[in-house]
Amino acid sequence: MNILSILTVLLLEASNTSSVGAESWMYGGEKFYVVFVVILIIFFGIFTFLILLERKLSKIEHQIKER
Amino acid sequence: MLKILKATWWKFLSIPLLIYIVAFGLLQPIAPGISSIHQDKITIGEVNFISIETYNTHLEEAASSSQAWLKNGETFICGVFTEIKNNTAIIGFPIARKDYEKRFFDLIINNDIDGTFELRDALVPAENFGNNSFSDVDCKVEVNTNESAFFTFPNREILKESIRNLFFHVCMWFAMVFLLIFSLGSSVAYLNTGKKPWDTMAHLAVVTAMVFGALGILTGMVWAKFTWGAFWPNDPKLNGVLVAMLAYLAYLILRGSAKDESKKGRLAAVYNIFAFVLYIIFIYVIPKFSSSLHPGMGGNPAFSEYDLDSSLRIVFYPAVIAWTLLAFWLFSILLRIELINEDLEDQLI
Repeated sequence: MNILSILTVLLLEASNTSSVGAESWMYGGEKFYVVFVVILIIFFGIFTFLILLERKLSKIEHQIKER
Repeated sequence: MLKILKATWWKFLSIPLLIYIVAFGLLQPIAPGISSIHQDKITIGEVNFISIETYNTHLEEAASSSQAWLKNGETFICGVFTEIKNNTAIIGFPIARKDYEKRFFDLIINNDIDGTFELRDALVPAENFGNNSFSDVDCKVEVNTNESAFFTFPNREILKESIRNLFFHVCMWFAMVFLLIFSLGSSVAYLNTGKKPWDTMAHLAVVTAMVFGALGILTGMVWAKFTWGAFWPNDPKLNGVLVAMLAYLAYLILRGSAKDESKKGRLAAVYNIFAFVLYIIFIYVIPKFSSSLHPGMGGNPAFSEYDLDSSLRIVFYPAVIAWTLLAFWLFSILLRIELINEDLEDQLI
């Protein structure tokens, strides 16, 4: 299927969205970009959670070292 | 319970499942469909040439077997392809002057490769009438429909490719609900046994569930914007989930505010049970009795009724399992860090 071509078009279109408005490209590709953005959001969410874990762990490491 | 949470086998199970659902869920094409039609008016009593653009079809390859017709109630009007180029076509329809059952005409196309696909309520008659008189031939006898030769996801109007969000957005909520059920169980176990790790488990399961709930809301907002037209349409399910999540936020605040250790645990556990009941009422019960944009609510066609067909199922069910396992994996790491933290604090005292 033409997912690969959609991804290349995505890169091209993302670079010249100025004339059409920032949102309208999301309607293109038969709304495939919506899925793309949704996956990005989930990635960012999971990485935020990992950073939260990282911080908690560093705090404990610090506490153990102090003793 | 802690032993299962520390075990690794189910965590590694989530990795191939996630790879499977992301790969399959993104690469599998959606069914052929008519993406645009260059006019929406037809003149009754004239030959109408309609120019269409299709998506994921093989019109040119399967030109010899292509059929097109307009459907209005029980009447079928056969069309003739006058031009086919790549995925676009021009079709001529001789539309006889007579009374039609319905106002709108459905456009249906069929060929050997793509099977049958349609655009419902595609065309509407114009005010004026043509002067050509055709004999009203009902060509229903010639109509032969067949299945697509490919395995595809359904191509629904408005949703289009974004139907793939079923494997991402919807699964966030499933992961959240499973974590909340786990939290509820932990709270009940805490009330029965009074052992502190159960309380910690219930608390952190809610924290993780809130993260997935937030992801569900954010992804849902993006999806809503490009299918329903607004980031936050006034929908009972959206407003309900906001209230339910605020109830859980209140749980987190309540648990943080109490001073006495055992009192805090019991208060939080009881409130957790209350919050879960509230959550179920606001997410499943109320939207069911009011009209909601979400599928399966208030008479809206559910995905499960006709569109959660086998092609979606074989990705959707693994997706629910995969995201739930990932959620529990993240939760178990958070829990173990917190348990070490509590051990340290106990040693200090």
